[in-house]
Amino acid sequence: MILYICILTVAGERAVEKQLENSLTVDSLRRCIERLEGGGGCADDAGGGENANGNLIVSSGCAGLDRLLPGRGFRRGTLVEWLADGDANCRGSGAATLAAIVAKNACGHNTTGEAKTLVVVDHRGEFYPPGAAGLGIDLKRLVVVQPENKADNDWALDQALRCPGVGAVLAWQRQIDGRTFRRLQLAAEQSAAVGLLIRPAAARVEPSWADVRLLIEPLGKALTMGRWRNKRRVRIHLLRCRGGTSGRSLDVEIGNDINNETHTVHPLAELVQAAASCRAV
Amino acid sequence: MPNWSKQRHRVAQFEVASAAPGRKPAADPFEDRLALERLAGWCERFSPIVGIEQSVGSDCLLLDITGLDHLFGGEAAMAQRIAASLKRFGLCAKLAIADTIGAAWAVANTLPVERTASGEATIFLIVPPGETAAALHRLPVEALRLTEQTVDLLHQLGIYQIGQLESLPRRELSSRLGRQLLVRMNQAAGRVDEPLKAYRCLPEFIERWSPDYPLERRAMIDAAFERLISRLATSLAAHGRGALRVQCLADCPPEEPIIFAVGTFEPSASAAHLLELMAVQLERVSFPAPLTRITVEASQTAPLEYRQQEMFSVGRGRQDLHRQLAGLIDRLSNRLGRRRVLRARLCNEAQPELAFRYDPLVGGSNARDGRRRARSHGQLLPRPLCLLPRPVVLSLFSPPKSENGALKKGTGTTTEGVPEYSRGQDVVEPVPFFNKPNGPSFAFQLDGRRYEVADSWGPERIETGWWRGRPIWRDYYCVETTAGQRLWIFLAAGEKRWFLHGLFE
Repeated sequence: MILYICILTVAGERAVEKQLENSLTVDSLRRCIERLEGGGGCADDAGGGENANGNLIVSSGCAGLDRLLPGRGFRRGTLVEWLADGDANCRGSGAATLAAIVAKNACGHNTTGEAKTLVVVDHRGEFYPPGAAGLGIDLKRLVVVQPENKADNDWALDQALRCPGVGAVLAWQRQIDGRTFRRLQLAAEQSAAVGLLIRPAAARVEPSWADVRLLIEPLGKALTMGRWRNKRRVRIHLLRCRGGTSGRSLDVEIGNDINNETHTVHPLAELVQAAASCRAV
Repeated sequence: MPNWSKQRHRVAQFEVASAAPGRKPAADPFEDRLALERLAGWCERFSPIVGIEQSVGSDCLLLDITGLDHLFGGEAAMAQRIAASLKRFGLCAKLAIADTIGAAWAVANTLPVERTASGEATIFLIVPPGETAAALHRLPVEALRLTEQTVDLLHQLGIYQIGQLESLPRRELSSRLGRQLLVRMNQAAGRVDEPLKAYRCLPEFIERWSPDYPLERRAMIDAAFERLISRLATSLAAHGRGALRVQCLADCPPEEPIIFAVGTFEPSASAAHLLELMAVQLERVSFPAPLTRITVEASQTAPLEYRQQEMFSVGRGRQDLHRQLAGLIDRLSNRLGRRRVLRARLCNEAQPELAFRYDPLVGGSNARDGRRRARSHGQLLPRPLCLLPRPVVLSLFSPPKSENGALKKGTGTTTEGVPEYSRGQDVVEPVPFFNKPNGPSFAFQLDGRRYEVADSWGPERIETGWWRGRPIWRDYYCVETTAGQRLWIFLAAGEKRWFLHGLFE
């Protein structure tokens, strides 16, 4: 077996700009093709839009992350995996917080229009509603399901994803077998809900039916020191992205603002080509 | 044949409690009500009119036994038979028989609790016909089903017994203490009629089917249920009502009948929807013997809610989405159990684990309408997204000490620049780290993994709960480990131990 290692180096600002320009051109062409084919879910603006099929794009809450994704956001009717770097229990990495912000956007809890319901499948019994309320999630539009075993957990997840009245489903899933994963993906497609699966980083070697797979890496000490209005930094690695370019990463700062409406995620570096090496066998 | 019309009106009343000592599960109004309804249904073997009294104090059952006592050998024999039957269920009761509902309630609620070696025992008292006034004379005023405010006011005036009240002028009583007091007095004494409201006159929506031959094959049983549910749904829809709870009873002699029920989030008269929920329950039920009779009853109903159709709705309308969501909640609740599909409410409690409560979405109380909206402390201060059901004790690593016992600063590091720590005990003195933002950190072990604190924010002192008998005094800190993980830990002031309580996941 011969191993080739190809190292890509960033030459400078001009190279980054050119690369950005190229990627935008590719994105634009891809949207044109999708529009002609009448499929996919692409939007022209960063905040979200509507395609020919009526599928909406859900903003991640961070403009920088939206730009990394095809269609400038997460497509409805898909699954998104949030892999939490750290220990096996994905503790305290910030992945669930980012996923909850996406869930809030998907359900429209931050808008004045008709809001959808968020279903949280919490088999661990650790979900804390006051924390969710602090992120701006409307508890009146929240259903918490606490399954007793894995079979019930998978069934509840499937049922919730299949329901058109549900905007997003947030779940902590340690292991998903291929068949269940595929069933969940089809269920999400049926209802146009966004399935947000929080999983340990060890799951990155497993096959996935999710459209987007993100690895959340906490970055240690915050830049902004404060008493309570602290912020935390995480690095988001785009491990897999259907229709997009994977291998890119982005540093973001999560504003832990107590005002529900202004909970924000700010990009620190616009685009970081972290995965500078690739290998082929 | 006795002449029923000339017989005196007789009422039996009893309140029920668990007989065994120590069996006091957490109160659930919905489950309590269901248990009481089941008991009321069982009591219909003693009287066709059974009511549930829930006005003041404890829940009671009322039985109209006018002209029925001779069937059981007299009132005393009837009371003994009820007591013996309840004892078999592991229940004890305070039972009274009197001429009026008010008198029966008053006597039953003032009976003392009789304790035996095996726990509490059922006791009963029979007020002979025509002696109601004498029986009430020495009873306390609380026995009149009055509000707490009225009872307090009477006590302030030095009135403790019903006899004292009876001697006062009626007109002044009404003007000073309210009309309700006079009504209750008259009802207890029998001067005013008080109707006994049966908890169900007759089941409004009930379908039964007794097959010619006992049903044994599963397909035939399913078809029978389908047919009955369809008829029930048609009957419900014709009356403009929807089922909130459908109870099924399958008689399979000589075994005990099989009873199961399904609940719905919203009133439903859709046969397809009810059948779908019923199918989930039927999958789990095994019938020990062929079925001789199947009964399907909508035990709890509510008016159907009609919504106007949307003419220009694009795709799925709002009504459709709402119906789909209600269907999802029903499916989840009926398969996983109603206690596992929940809505969350914030509570005005500083203690984090009490700052919210979960209520079942199906069959829960509808207290949300009249309740003041609670604003949790969690909306004012940052709270983690995950809270451990029980705080976990942190096993700390103490910072290295110099020879004279003082904490070393900037020393004791390994070649990689990481401070060395010695393994400590669970119980440690509070580390003065949190008063110094850039001071020395400490490390702890959790799930076999070592964490080192790099930064912290706090403290947020929570001192509450003294009125519950378990005062809480905690200093909460949000800490960030060297790996960037954010945790919510607290120092319990009394125990001088650190606990992990939340995770900013």
